[in-house]
Amino acid sequence: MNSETFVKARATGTGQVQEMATFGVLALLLSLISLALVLGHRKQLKSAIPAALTLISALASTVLLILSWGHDLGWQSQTPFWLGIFPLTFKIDSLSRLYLTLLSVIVCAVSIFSPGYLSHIAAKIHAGQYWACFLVFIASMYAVIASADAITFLVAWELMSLASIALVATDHSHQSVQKSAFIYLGATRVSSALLAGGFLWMHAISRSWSFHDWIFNDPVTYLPALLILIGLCIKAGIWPFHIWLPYAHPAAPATVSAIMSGFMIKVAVYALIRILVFGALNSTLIIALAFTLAVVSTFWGVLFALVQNDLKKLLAYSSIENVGLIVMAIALSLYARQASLATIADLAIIAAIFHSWNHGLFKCLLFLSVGAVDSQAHTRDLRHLGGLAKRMPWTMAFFFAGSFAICSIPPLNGFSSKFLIYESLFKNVLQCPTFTEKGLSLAVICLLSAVGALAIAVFVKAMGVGFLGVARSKAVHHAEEAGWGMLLAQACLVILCVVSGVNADAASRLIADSLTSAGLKVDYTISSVLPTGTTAVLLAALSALTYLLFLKASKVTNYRTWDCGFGTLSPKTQVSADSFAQPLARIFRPFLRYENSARFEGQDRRHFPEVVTVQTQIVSILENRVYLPGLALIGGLARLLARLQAGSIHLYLLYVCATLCLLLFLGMAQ
Amino acid sequence: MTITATEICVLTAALLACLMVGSLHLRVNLWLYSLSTLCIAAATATSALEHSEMGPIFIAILIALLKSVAIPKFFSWAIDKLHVQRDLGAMVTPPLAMHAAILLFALSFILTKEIPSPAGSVNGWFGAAGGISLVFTGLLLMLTRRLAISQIFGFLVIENGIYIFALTQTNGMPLIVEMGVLLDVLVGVMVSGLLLFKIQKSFEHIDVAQLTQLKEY
Repeated sequence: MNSETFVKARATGTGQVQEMATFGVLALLLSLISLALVLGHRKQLKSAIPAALTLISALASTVLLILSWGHDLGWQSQTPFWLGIFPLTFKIDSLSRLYLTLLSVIVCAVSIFSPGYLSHIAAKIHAGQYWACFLVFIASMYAVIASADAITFLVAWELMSLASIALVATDHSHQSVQKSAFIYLGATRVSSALLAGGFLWMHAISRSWSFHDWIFNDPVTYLPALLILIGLCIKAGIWPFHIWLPYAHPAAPATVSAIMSGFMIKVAVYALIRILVFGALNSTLIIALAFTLAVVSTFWGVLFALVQNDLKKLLAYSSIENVGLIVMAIALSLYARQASLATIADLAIIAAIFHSWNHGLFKCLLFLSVGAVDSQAHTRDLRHLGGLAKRMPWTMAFFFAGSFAICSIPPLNGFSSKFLIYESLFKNVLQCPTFTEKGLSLAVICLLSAVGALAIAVFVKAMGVGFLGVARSKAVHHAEEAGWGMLLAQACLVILCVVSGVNADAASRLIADSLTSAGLKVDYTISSVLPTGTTAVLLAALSALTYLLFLKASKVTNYRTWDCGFGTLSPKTQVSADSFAQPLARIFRPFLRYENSARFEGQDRRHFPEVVTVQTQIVSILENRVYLPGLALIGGLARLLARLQAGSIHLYLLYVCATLCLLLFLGMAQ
Repeated sequence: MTITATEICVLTAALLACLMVGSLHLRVNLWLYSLSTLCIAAATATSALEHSEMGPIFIAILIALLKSVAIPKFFSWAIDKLHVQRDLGAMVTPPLAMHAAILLFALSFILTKEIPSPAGSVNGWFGAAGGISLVFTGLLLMLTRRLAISQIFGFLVIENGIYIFALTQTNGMPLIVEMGVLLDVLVGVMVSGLLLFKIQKSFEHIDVAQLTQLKEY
């Protein structure tokens, strides 16, 4: 949106350019706000117009960002347009450019996808409000990435959080959606509070609001660094602060969850890199904490993704896993930097940025595919899906491509960035000095490979149960292929996934150059060429061999299954999502607690029940054991505090009197 | 340390207000309030003479007329209309409350000792003590009474205290501000009188101890 004006606002330019840029920013902001205001109160709105406008501006910003590659752009607001006593300061260097380009690409895809998708849920949403919030959301994400000082960052961050909450609550007539929006609201409040605390503290230490001046190499800066880290981890969805993600993503429309999962959680990753990595954090304790939390969240995310039946929830948990990977790479880079293992540090930070790019692309693709399924089949519950391969072949192809990418199958892009992460860990095993560190790195590598295997299981389940077999419900029977807009958006993302996977070496070099020009000395020349091609060929050959040796030989005979005299078999006899996950879930029983509830209905329900409902669900240990008691405690304390408000006028007067006395005494004491 | 005529008037007003706390009879309260306010008018006049300005004399006359005659007359009329003669008293018995008020009167001297007196002012410490003491007395009056009408008396005493504080801690306020304050008090009294009748009509009593719904939870 407004990034194009930043492009015009080149720091290198003359005064004329600056002036033009100021007018440009004002014009764009005004037009954006007026568009949002105009759209805001129209319930029935053709989504094509705002979608086209969004597409045009996103395309324009992509083009302008690429055209101005290599130049740092900066802009500072003039006096009347300040935030109180602070100027709005924006700066686009090559690091923010990487993220802004990703955002522009994602916004392009989503805006192509939107009209077709929104027409399916038009009855349930207020289109004007949706688009108004959507535009503010996108504009604020541009602003967060482009902001150069803490105040501008915090304002844009708040705007982003609030707009996304409003978007999560788009379909707010459902109680579950309201609950999700509230949980998300709570998470963002805590996150913003911690961030604000950390920022204020850092300002007190460094006497500057600019991120550029914040260096975290002194023990006094460790506590603010911890506050900032936790604040960002909440937004990124790192264990144990991830609980908002599986609520918010399913509640929001697919377009919104695509952007939220594809980009918004990367904003936190970007901020981690911008503040802590560029600030050269060197506290071993904090780095170790970040690393541990990240490793736990990769494992936790994939484990819970395995047992989800709602496709969006499954994707949300898989986002937790992937963000865990990214944060782990960042923590590894920080650790290696302070242990002066420069090669590993460089490799890990490149891996982190590259994986956030790739995850942004394929997670957006997957969410859009699920959105397409949802719009046609009116459900995204794996227990009711199935057999979509015949109904929606293209959507299936795109979903499969996204799944392959997320399972890091070469030559798709998930492979290259995960390979870089592994490579940095292996290098760490070889280079780091002490034996414990070597052992720990090896253990993490083992854990990551387990996580990779589980991720494959997760997506085999999603692909197999969702798309193969026979339809499990009537709605799926009537599903048709999604509209061309929805397909085009997914196709674009698939192409980008392939391109970014095939050109992984060039991309890594580009990231290294960008980081170097942004001020972090990074050298990619040491890394060997990624084995994408070889692995892809090897994998294809192996698959072909397996097929030829084991699968092709079997003779296919068609006959009727013995149906035990019960009549014809129903689609329910297929392998269900739960039964697919069960063998693996059984291994991890300490973490995955199942809860079965059965209900029998009917006249003589003891002997001849008419309706039997059996429901299995996963109990969230973290939620029940930690968050709910914590909330209950806070509620209890709040109720204690509320007893101060007793309703008696005399008591209120007593408070006034006591306060007056206290203030006078304080005045006297001075 | 010399004591000026203004300060004598102010301290008398504060002591008269302390006496208000000691009686539950509404009419006695009104008389005491009227006398206390008359003292305040006198303080305004003497202060004007000390500064040798004529403007505040006009204000003093207005205070005497409005606050010590018209307002008590109005409340006396309201007392007749509402058929109440005595307050019921709350929490502390009146004699005890009165002694507490006198203690607070003493305390306010300690509390205000450190307040820097304004340049050129002759009524620093004692004036401030009188003002703060009046505020305390008003609060105590509101705290120990149950009827809504007594709450208004307490409020009026607080208002007197704030006025005294302003009078003694500045070198005289502009005429227009003083007149504005007076008008405010008058309007406040009218509105609170209206509310009194409203409360009487809705609840059939004006006992604030029974009005306990003022909470959210």
